[in-house]
Amino acid sequence: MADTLQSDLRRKVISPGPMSDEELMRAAGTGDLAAFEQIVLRHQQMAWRIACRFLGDLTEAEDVAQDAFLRILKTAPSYRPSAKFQTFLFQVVSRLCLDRARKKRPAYVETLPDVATESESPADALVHGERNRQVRAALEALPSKQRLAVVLRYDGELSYQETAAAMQITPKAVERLLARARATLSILLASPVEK
Amino acid sequence: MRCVAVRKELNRFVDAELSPWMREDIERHLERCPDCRQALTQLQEVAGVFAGVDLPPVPDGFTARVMRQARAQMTEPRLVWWSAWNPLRWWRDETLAMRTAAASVVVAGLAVGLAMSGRAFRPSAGLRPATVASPVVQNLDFVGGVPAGSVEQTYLAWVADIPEKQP
Repeated sequence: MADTLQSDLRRKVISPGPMSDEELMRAAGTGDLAAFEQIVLRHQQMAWRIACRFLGDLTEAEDVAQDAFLRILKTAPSYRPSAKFQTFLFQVVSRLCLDRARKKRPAYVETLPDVATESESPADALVHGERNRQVRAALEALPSKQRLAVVLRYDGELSYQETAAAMQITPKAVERLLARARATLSILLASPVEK
Repeated sequence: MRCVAVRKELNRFVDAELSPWMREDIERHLERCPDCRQALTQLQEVAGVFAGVDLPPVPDGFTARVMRQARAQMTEPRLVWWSAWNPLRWWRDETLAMRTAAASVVVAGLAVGLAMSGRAFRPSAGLRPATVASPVVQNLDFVGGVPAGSVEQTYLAWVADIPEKQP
């Protein structure tokens, strides 16, 4: 039994388990770039999704996602985990997306390529592509804050509370933004794409 | 529940943001109200739209590019926080409540400052220039015999309101 206990303890010391985001941020704040790389690998997908869906442009989305991580690294020495790290990440990405939208030239809705699935027939792929374009155009027609609320809620799968924290507004304001966005989207997306 | 009350909560119903008892009430209403069911269906269609719209994957080499810039950033001289702070950006990025609070503090500070400066510059009542007979001048006897046109004589004339002697 003593042997089992010793080997258990040894195992814990050798492989302590994955670090939490907050622990990685603390390490990154001391200059540990390997810890920062772990943060990037864990959260790049989500940062990319939000930026891509919001901006509708691959190059700008990559710029925003990269910039978000670099800003997070810059603030790592003074990072205090008052909330989940993911909330902080969403705040940074949201702010950058809104800044980019303020400065942005008119959107080129065709910029995002269609993602084809292998099992689709050509006709289905065409309809699918057209529907994608319709959705992107509808999103682009929304005011920035409504668009951001929609993207955080449906792509980020955040609750009202989490969306409010990311956008630094109240949950009630999130509810109003989503309600208005849905009303607009239901009109813009009312006509289905025919085969 | 009445339709008006249900319609108000339908958005939160679709987003699963309602308490369990409220959700049950609305579900019971929806079972017998086709209009509200129709409204719900429209909302759910919009919510479901994004599920079918795929996004391209994260670009190849994304992490490598971020790390390259991160290493470059780490070797840059680090700015002290107050030199990196941009007040215009802060103003633009802050919430309306915070901006209102900051503006109120500045206005209040200016108002207090103006009120205090007004009192400071107002001459106190009863203050008169010293005359020859006043104790202030009497105690300045070491300058009583100063030559005309000298600095001391000019000073004495200034504080005691005595006409300056011409050299």
